[in-house]
Amino acid sequence: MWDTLIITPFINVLLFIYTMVGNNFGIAIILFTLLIRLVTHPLTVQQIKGAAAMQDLQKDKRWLDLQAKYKNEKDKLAQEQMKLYKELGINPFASCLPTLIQFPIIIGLYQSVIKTLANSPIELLNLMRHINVSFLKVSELIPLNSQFLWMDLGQPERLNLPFIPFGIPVLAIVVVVTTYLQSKLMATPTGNPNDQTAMMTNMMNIYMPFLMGYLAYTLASGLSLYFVASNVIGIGQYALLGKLNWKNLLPGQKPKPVKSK
Amino acid sequence: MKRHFSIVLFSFVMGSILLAACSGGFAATSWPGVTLQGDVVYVAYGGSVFAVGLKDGSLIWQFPEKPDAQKGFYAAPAVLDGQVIVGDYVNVLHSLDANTGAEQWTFTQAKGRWVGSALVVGERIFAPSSDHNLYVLNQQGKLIWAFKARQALWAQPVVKDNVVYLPSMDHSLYALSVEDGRQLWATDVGGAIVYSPALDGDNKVYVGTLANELVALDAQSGKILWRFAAKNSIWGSPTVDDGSVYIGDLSGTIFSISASDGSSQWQVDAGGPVTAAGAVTPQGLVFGTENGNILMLSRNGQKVWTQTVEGKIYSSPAVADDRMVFGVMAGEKLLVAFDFSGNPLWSFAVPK
Repeated sequence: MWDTLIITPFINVLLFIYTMVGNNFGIAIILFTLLIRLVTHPLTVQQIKGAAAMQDLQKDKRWLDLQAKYKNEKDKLAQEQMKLYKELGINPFASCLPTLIQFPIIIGLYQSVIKTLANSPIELLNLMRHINVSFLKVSELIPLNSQFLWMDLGQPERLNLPFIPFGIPVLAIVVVVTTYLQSKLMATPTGNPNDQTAMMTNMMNIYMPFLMGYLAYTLASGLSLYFVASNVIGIGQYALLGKLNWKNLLPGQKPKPVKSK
Repeated sequence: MKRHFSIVLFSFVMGSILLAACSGGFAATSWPGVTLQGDVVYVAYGGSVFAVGLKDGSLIWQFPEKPDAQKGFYAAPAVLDGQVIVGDYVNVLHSLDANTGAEQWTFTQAKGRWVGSALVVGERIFAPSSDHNLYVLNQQGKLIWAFKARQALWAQPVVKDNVVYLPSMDHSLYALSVEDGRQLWATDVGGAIVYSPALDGDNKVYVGTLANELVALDAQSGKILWRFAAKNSIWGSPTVDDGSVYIGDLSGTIFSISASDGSSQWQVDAGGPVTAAGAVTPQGLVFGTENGNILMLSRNGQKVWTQTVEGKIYSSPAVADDRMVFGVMAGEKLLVAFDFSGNPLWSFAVPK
């Protein structure tokens, strides 16, 4: 079911793009990521709007009053919050639902790139079973040209320079930087920077770039290229919508806590 | 508060799924590679290489002592003068003591996985790497010469009359001089070649391709003599015997083809996709299928017997005088041995 609905169509589109761009798998990964982001763009917009509405709500006097009034009555607080949502016409799931819909698409995109980079006989056998032979010719497609710039997209990337005795993991570094930038630029100010969830979010902002960097360092560079493309396109998407928080990049800049009465 | 918690939770889930996808989906996996030498079966699978007694399936040794899943051994080991030569998926070619499994030397110059088996001829080791190079080494693991193809090398080469026949994923079959790697000829056969070519005594070389064809070439000149169209891609090596060439394809059909002109003699439904080469036994031709079927066919295509094992058979059996051993993937057992009448003799599971 998952394969039929997501993986097989994704792989065929990815390979179709590959044939259209002169058998360049690097460009194909970038364009395919861009295409998926464009298709899911309305969902992203909806998600941002929903998040913004929720953020505005948390600054609303009535919301803050409710928090203070029903501090010790969780059930009552939930009921009153739902009433306020209805009154203001806010759907609390408006930011959550698009994310949930996008999630399998992002995972599918990621898995399609992995499967298409088939690097062993069994992986190639599985890939061939996804290829629609009525519009793609296996004999011309296989083997995929995995060379892109100085990289073999099926191998972890290292840039070897004549005056340095070891290879530099350029792409892994770019992954760390772009993941960090993305998490910082897209972060919205938290209600209280000292609360536990805000601290967890900050920790995630540090943890995720290194996790992604580690994956990029150890796995095939085709995946690293996808991580970078995804990060850059994501930042571009938010920039176009005017939702980037450039101030978050300034050192010592802390999000303003919301004053509660 | 709740929203931030959701973000954190979402990020953790995302991270976990990414990690899970990486460790599972992208793990270097393939099917077991099996080699028979004397009364020992060598099998490379996952984190280990095992030496198993042909007589009873007992474990003689395993390398390394504790399985190392990061390495990934899948290419069938090659055996030479007391050495077992086996490559892994982290680009290292190992020489192991055939009696004890102790490591003797490693060759680390390759920059790609060792998917194809090395071939040992005389005192030379011909090792194809997925970094596009065929490395030719001496018994001490020193490089004598290397030849670079345009794409990955996944198949064991074949050597005959001082010529190396090297199949490549780049659609070409190369003929090289054994002495120095000089290219004698290269022929584009129209599709990637995943497995070894087969040679006959009539100066012909045969290869199956992922373009659904069996191609016969003149071994001297590389000229294509004939092509035979199968129903789907051909993964296994052709089996040549007594004027006929036998191949199976992914559609699950086994074909018998005339070696002289490429005409079809008969075809049989194997009941499952065939990626493995067939093998010639005293009882007839034996093939394994992806769904675990083992078929013994007479030379005129009649089914003599069939057996089913739990798991998938992707590689050809190792055939001894009175028995044959199959490597099995995704089953309880890693090796299963049968006599030529289809009676199970023993099985070997990865020690826990």
